[in-house]
Amino acid sequence: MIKRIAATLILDSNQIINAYNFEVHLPVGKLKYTLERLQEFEVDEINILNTSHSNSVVNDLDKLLEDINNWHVSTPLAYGGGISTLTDAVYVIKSGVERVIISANTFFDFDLFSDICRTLGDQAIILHLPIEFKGGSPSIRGYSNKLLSDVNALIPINWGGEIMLTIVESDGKKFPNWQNIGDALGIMAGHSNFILAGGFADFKDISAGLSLDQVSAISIGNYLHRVEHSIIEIKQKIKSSIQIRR
Amino acid sequence: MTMNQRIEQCVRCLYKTNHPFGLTLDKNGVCSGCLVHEEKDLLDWKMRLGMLKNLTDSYKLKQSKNYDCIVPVSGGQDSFFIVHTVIHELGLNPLLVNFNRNFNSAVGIKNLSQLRTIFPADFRQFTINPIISRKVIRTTLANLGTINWLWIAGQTSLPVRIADELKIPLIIWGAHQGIEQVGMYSHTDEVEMTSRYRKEHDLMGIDEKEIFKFDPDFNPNDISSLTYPSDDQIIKNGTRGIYLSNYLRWDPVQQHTFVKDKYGYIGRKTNRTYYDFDNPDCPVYNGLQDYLKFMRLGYAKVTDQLVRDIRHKRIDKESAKRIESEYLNKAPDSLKGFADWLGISVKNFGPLMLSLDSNFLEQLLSGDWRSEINELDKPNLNHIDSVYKFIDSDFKNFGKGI
Amino acid sequence: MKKALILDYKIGNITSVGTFLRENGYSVTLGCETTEIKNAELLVLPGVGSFKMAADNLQDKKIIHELKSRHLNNKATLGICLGFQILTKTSSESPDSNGLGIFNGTTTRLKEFSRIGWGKLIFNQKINSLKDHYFYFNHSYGSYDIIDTSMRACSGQSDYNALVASGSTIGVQFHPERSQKSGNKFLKWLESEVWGLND
Repeated sequence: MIKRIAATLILDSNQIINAYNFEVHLPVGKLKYTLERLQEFEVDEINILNTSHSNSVVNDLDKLLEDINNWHVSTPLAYGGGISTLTDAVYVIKSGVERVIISANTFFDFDLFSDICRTLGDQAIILHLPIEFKGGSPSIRGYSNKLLSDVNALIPINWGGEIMLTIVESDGKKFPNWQNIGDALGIMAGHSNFILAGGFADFKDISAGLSLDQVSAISIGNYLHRVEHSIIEIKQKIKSSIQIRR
Repeated sequence: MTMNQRIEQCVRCLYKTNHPFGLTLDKNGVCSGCLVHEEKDLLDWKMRLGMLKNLTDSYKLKQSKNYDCIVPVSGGQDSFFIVHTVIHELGLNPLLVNFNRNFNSAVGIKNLSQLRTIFPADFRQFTINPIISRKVIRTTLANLGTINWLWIAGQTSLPVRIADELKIPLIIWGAHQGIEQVGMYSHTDEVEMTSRYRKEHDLMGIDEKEIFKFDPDFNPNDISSLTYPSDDQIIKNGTRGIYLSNYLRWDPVQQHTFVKDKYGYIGRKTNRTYYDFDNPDCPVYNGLQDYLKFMRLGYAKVTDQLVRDIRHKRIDKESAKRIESEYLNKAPDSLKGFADWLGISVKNFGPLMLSLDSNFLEQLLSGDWRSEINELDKPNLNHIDSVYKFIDSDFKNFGKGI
Repeated sequence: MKKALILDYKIGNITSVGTFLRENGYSVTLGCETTEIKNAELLVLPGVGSFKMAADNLQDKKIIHELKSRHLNNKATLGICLGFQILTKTSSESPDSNGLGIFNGTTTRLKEFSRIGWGKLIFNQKINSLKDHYFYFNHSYGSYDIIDTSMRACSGQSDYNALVASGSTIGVQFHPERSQKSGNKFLKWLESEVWGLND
């Protein structure tokens, strides 16, 4: 299929935030106004990551999704944040979101992860992997003893979902770390269903990312909020040889 | 912020997490505004000025027409500083653009004419039909609790319209209030003007396309002069708005001293805050409008200025709290003249404000741009009778649209 | 105002489909009574979930009869994604479950495991009004072998059925309700060129 430009919106206390290195959160505004504009820009998909989720995905989601449906969003949506049971995941999909974003925490309960995939279909899952490079083999943020190679060993080659690979060190920056990206993709060489995130703000970097065979989409975060027509300009400037929805 | 989320205050400044722009606290309780403010003492501002010059030079070189850029001005002290920087530091030839609010203070008129006289730049002003002006302000006062919506809608759309009309792509603004107040971005993000920010934060979530829902008799043609250009127009023209505060160490107090000494800028004392240089051009901004802000949000201009002073280490938090409490509940001046101009009798103005207050919280909490007000922060309205007694001589100018 | 019924067989994405239909000028109800199915101007089968769940919830013989009757009487019916798959005979996702068999074919696991993203439709006849439009796909199963169709389309380089028409019963593997303006355009096209449901 053609490549995609995804918008990733990080929520903290029900507000969209600019995120830097997964630690600093700066407030941007309410979801409604940004969704309106992204819809006008015809972004290919919107991923919503809720970092301040409560223990109840149902409570978190109810108001949020009621608002999204009232705001007439006709763009594919994915939601993640605190999804830790099969019931949570099913609830997200039944609420009208196309895909559920699963954290490493839920993934490493592999029976649970497999159940979710079986029940909803692989295509309904995005596995979010924030990757850190602290010397040695890249590890999953928050799990110093879990390496990217461990994830690679678990996911079957014919898995039909997608993996959002975020290089933590590039989070919030204006440029990605190509060395880190190359290393991470090399470890997961058997897979070709990646959404790359972290530092993608310039159309040249986005073009380069989309040119990689293993990559199906580039996720843009903070840059969405920095200029008027981020998505439109990017799509206009991306290399014509890259097939995207223009 | 949901109903169930606790409102917390920054450990350093006076802002709380119910700030209408949004506010985050780090694990130490320091707010996003204070954190980003630290950049002011860490960034290489000489280097950043160089970046700004490179950026603006590229527009200078491209332009074969008359103006290198547009600078929106109000006659406030920021305007003087911005125009000075644009002309004398960056060597640009700007077109100055002003949206007339229709009720300017004598000081504001003086400052704006000083600006037009002193700086070597063309100046263009637009004055909206005063009947429409009053109609819009009555509508926004009753439904949004603000009188300033119209001026902000005009002041943020007029430069973009003129940019499109005259094919001048670059607009230079002063401070990005989202960064200055709540640390919305890092300065190094070099955020630019967006219509999303305008609608959500400048216009409280209601833009000129939606203001009609408050009054079905509104004719869209009445406020066509507020219409923000379309995406196609902006893209075709390459219009972009940059903020000097991303490239210069922004400090309005220091800037005021500079423009006062160099350009004779005049302030206007107000009874609701301790600085006289912020927005003296509007006779009600620091009075009635500020009081309405206090009723809506639980804090006022004095809070904004104290937060600024805390961050610039001009005052400590405890002293700031004491000063804030002295000013917050002060009765707004300038009520009668404004009420007369607006076409509301003073007798009805009070009840209008009271009725805003009595249902206000309920209306507010059901809206998505509004904030919760902590029980302890509700304003004290016992002084409302004293409001009627004060008449401001500025209002001799009302109705003259100057 | 045109009236649409979303078939309630306890399968997800009802809200987004409902919003999509309302945005396009329909009054929308949710139900599965036989009279409702019979009388609906437009019937939509939404679907996000598993074939087994859908099949288990469509066991009522009267409802099945009414759905088949609707097809034979050439009434406007749209099956979206799982709603399309349930119109086929069977699915390898759940071999013990039965589809409605309105489309003469089966649903199987996609050769490329899943299709997530945007694709154009390549029709087996000339359809100019949709040729530059992209539609959103998100599925792991599809059908390759449906016969007796009045129209079909594949997407991209894949040869499965992205769209199938049998009279006024349309099955689409993509999600028009998530395809932004193209989804609205698609519905308008169906109304004018396939169903004759213009205002």
